[in-house]
Amino acid sequence: MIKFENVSKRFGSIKALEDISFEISEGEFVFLTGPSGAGKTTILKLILKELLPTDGKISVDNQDINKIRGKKICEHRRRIGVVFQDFKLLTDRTVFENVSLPLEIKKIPLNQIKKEVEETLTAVGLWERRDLFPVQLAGGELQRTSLARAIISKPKILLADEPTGNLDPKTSWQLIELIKNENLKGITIIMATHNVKIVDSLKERVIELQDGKIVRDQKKASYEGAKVEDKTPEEKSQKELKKVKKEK
Amino acid sequence: MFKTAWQYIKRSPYQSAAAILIMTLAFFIIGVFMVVAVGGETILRFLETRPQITAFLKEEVKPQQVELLKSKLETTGKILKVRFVSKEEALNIYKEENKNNPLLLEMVTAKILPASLEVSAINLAALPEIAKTLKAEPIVEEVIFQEDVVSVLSNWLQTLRLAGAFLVGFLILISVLTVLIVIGMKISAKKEEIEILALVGANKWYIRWPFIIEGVIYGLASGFISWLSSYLLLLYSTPFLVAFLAGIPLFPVAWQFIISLLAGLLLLGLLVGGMGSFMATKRFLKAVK
Repeated sequence: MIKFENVSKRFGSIKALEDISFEISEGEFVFLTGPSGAGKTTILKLILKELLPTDGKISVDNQDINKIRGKKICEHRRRIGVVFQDFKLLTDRTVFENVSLPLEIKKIPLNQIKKEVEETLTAVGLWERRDLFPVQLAGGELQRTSLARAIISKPKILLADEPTGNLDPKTSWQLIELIKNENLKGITIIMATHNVKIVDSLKERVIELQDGKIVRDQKKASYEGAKVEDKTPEEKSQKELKKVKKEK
Repeated sequence: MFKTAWQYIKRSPYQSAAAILIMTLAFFIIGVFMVVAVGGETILRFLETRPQITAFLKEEVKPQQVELLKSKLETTGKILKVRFVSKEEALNIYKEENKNNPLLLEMVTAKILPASLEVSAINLAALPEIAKTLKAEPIVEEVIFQEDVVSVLSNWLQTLRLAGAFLVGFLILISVLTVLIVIGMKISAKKEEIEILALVGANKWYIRWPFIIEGVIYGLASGFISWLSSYLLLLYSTPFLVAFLAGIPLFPVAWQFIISLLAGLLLLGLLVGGMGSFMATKRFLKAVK
């Protein structure tokens, strides 16, 4: 589904990514880990074609995205949902209007937009908050709005750039469960994160980066590379949630 | 998109008001020029249809002599029309022109008014020659012709058209630049929002349309306000102009002209607003990836 072949990205003299190659299959859940500046966000931006690689080839759905131009870039982005760490919501639009944006862009009829926004906002528990503006929401609600906007158009790929970075542990777990549910529906998830507990509990594939290089690409892995207990992600997340509640 | 454009206007009302006011002033001046130009044309056309030479005839002149002179003039090939005005007709014209002033009508009879020949030439350049021919005729007492009035007015209108075209061009440029600057400022202020739209898959036209619609709304609002202002000015100055242009059938102004003026100013607003905002989006959305 997503293939990086010898991809490098330089910003002037700074090497953000250096000759990295990996492949992600359809429906996979992949964590991108590593310290700040390791190149996690750069990978997400390259997949979204927000940045262009300096060298190498990136394919999404067997399409070389370096070669797509103009309208094709928009069509490519419409197939990808993105959850940003800083939410990137439109401040002058309500929750409803923010979430309906990808459907409006696709010129979906208004009655269908209303129906789908209601379904999605209900799924993320924000239907009651639909008429509020971002400034009136709490951090977790903002991130759930961002997730709702990312999943409403039923993308094939969901990119999440440190989605729990600004959230408390309980809210982080609620969000992760929503993202995991999307993965269970068959959406490919690529999540950049620093959250050790989440990575350790979900036991998914981990691509660890350091100084722009892949230092580890391991399936069913933990954050630090240690062996993870063979539990299902649901069991693990429930366990973590209980632990968080106890700590509080 | 209309909703978004309306939101953009509402959220920065002072910028929007400034753009509309500047454009209204420019369109108002353009509207007044259009009224003056069309009015001037009408006056000129009216004067051109008036007899250009009037030859007053001597008292003892006979109808055969008049007919002979008419035929003589017509054979020159330079005459558009010749009309004989008898003493009685001259009295009727005099009465009509002075019907509001009874003092001037007293003691005036057909006897004291001369008969005349009213002559229109095909080409204004031939007027002096025709006048010379008429003066040489023994039955002609006096010759007057209005070549100067027509040519002076014609020259004035030509100058007015040139100056007007320059001024209109200049004002249109100011209006386009105003829209470009205001919309450009708004695009710069919404840089982050535009980037988000692009990241969620919006194409350039989805981002561009609300700004173009905003510019078009500025143009249409300015066009309408300037039309209303120039129409009110025309209504207000009608009594004065009627007295000043007595005898020239310019008033009341035809409603077709008023509607055409409205359509013209709205079209101008549409084009100027649309062009200014399109240029702004071209210029300021270049950086959107």
